[in-house]
Amino acid sequence: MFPHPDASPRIGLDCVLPLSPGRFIAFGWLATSPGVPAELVATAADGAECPIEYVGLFPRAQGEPGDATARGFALVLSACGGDLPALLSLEAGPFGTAQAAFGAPLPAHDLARVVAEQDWYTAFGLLRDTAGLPALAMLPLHGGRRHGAFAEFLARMPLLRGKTEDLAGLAAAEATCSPAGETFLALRCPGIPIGTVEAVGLDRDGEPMLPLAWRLLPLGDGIAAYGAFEAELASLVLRIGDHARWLRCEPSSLSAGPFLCRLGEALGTAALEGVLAAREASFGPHLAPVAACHHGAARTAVLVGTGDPMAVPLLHVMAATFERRFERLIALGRGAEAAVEVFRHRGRLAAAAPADGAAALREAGAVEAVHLPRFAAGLAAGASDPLGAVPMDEDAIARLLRLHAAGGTTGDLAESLACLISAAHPRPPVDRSSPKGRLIADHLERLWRCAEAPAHA
Amino acid sequence: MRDPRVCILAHAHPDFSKGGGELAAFRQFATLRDAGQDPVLVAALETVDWGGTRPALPGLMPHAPGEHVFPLDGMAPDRLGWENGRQRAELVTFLAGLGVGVYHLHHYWRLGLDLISDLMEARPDALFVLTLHEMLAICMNHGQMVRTGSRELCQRDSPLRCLSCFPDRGLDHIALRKAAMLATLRRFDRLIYPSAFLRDRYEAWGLAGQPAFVLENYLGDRLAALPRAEASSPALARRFGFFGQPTPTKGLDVLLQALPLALREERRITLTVHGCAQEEALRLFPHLAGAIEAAGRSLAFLGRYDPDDAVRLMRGVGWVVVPSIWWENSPTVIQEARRAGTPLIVSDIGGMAEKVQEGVDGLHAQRGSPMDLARAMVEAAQPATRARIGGTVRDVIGRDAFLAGLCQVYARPGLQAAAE
Repeated sequence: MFPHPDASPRIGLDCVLPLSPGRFIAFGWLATSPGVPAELVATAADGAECPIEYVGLFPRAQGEPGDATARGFALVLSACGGDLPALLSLEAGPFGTAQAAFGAPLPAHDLARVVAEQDWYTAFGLLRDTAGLPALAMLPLHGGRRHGAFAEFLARMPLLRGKTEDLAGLAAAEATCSPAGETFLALRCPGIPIGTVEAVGLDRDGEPMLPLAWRLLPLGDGIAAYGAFEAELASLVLRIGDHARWLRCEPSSLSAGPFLCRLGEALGTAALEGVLAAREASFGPHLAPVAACHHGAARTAVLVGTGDPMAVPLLHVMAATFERRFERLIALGRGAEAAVEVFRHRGRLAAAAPADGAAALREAGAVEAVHLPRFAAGLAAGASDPLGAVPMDEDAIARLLRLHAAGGTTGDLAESLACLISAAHPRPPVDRSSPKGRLIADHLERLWRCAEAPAHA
Repeated sequence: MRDPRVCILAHAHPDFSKGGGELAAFRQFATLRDAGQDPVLVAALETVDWGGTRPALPGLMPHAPGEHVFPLDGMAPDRLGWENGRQRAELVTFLAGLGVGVYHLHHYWRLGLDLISDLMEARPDALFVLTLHEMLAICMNHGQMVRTGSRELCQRDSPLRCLSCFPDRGLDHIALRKAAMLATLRRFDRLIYPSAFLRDRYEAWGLAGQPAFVLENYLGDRLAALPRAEASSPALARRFGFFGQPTPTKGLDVLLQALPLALREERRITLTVHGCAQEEALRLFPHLAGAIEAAGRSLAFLGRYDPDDAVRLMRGVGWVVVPSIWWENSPTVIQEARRAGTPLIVSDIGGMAEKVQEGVDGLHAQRGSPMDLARAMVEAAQPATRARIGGTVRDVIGRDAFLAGLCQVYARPGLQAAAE
């Protein structure tokens, strides 16, 4: 077999930078003919091979002049012994080998600038690959700054905050997200087919995440996308269309109820039905109660249902009941601060009304949940244990948080907890009289039913 | 064993308002004092109607020997709890340090459930007694158990009916309110109901099983010493009197509608209204201008009166009419009329029907019915009816019986046995 003259491999090294002691990241381009197998090999000055931990190949919008086959690459490699990599070879078997010499490494602190100055297919691809590969895990942490190696890339992208018009070639764009890690995008671009939208999510810590589910949906003069990620999104990086437009979104955060309402407003019935079915398949199995573990009574009470003005007088009168049973009290939701004040004033129980209820519950580990109106009903009925505290271990708390994220009709965690321990379903945030409203209400009801304990558990 | 020293806590002081509850509290205080005990009276002082320019008042003020008043500025608008915790704490400290063995509360409104709870915690050794004066704990409509829109009576508490009267409150509010009230009232060592009717209502609501006493309020030594009406002249039978303020549920409107109807049958009937002027009545019931005009000289409005004059004034009429459209508990007006020896015509419900025995102390008329009230007035206007019932009107509880009743309420057999 004779090599085709155009099949000769070619390679160019743009730069190399230290990533961590003994590890480097390099950027460059390479070109091989389609179908020609090729392998990158890095060697030290003494010819010893330097292990390559990661290779990412990406489309290259600019390419080499006149070369449509060129692709960008990023690779992470280790030094061999104490020696720096000296040569990078692109071996294409019978089609030959191309080589490029590593120059002197650039300073490590240049990495964010270097990434931002790469072809954005490369920067985006590297970000996407970072989501799943341990070899790249240090990139978002690089330099101790938020978003690390991607900080400048992200900073240079057009930014969509919630909803705007005329941005990045789009007539209008909107991004929302739910606490369950979902996002909904509506991108309007009259007359220009968008085709594809690819997304990488960033969580609150700046860690990249790939969508667990990603659906493109028809939307009149544009395209909509529904995505589900592992955690709540802080921002989203998008590659839009085949002729890439780039966008970074900071979605408006909506609780599950309003998020679903937004979906209902934007989508047709069939598309909505599909999304809701996907939600149920995704969230439902994680909401089911597991067999209760009895670790003894928790010493932390979580109090909800304190929004009514009569809550404070009742708590004042019954404070000793809580003080006898608990060492600590966390009040959540409306009226929490006033409720806590009752106990603070008495000084016999550590009481707090944390701003981040979910974090407080996670930290507590095991709690007993008290729904004040239920307590009131028990008192009036003369129940032997009117407190009606519901023990919740770590699993139960995690389920509550998942249920609230996926099916909470308001942003108030206390309301979801109150519904859960009262075996009540929250009032749906939609009008059941419309077909889409009915779909959403039924969907929420099914999610809440998933979380109900079996009658004879 | 010595009688324990008693602190009487009242929701008001009769020097500032003349409701039946505060009168009962004060008269109890005066009676205990006159009986040689050393009681303390601590009463709430409502200052809202004093205007916005009044100077700030201390949290507690001496008012007379053994008497203190406290302003309500630090209380929540519903007067069931304190927004100013410091003011509440100061009051509790003062009350707990009084060195009394019994805290006898008249009402919980304007005292605060939280203050009561704190005081009970501060003085676990003391006896806590509560005299209930109406049904505020049961009903958010001023404790009257009357529907807000229709004046329909309620027989028992019902969250959904309460919600239909107060749709802005919500079921949680109703549940929390009831629990807070019940939890507080169940902690009292003794509950005093001035009528069996009130006891039955509270027990049906949730206080069954609590130590309960039915003990009438005492009118006080001065009124108790007044002579009762002598045999009356026939003309007195046709003189009717209304005593009280023209609140929407006292039934003055029913009486003013009944009067022209009664006058058609017996033109010599007269009605004197004590407790309000004609303008006040018309402000509340403007639709009754025609009825008032129709009554002509048969009707007179005599304005406000001093409660100490009530018995004397009642002896000047042949009948005292109590046409309330709410249940009432143990109306002072009925007690005063019986003290005076003047028979009554009352609505046939609640505390009125209990306190006025039909045919013995007076006559009953269908609640809220001007026609039936007119019928009763015409029957009452017969000199024979007046003479018959005027001779059987029962007197009210006397000083000795009242003190004996209190003694029974305050008794702590366990403690007494230990002391002996």
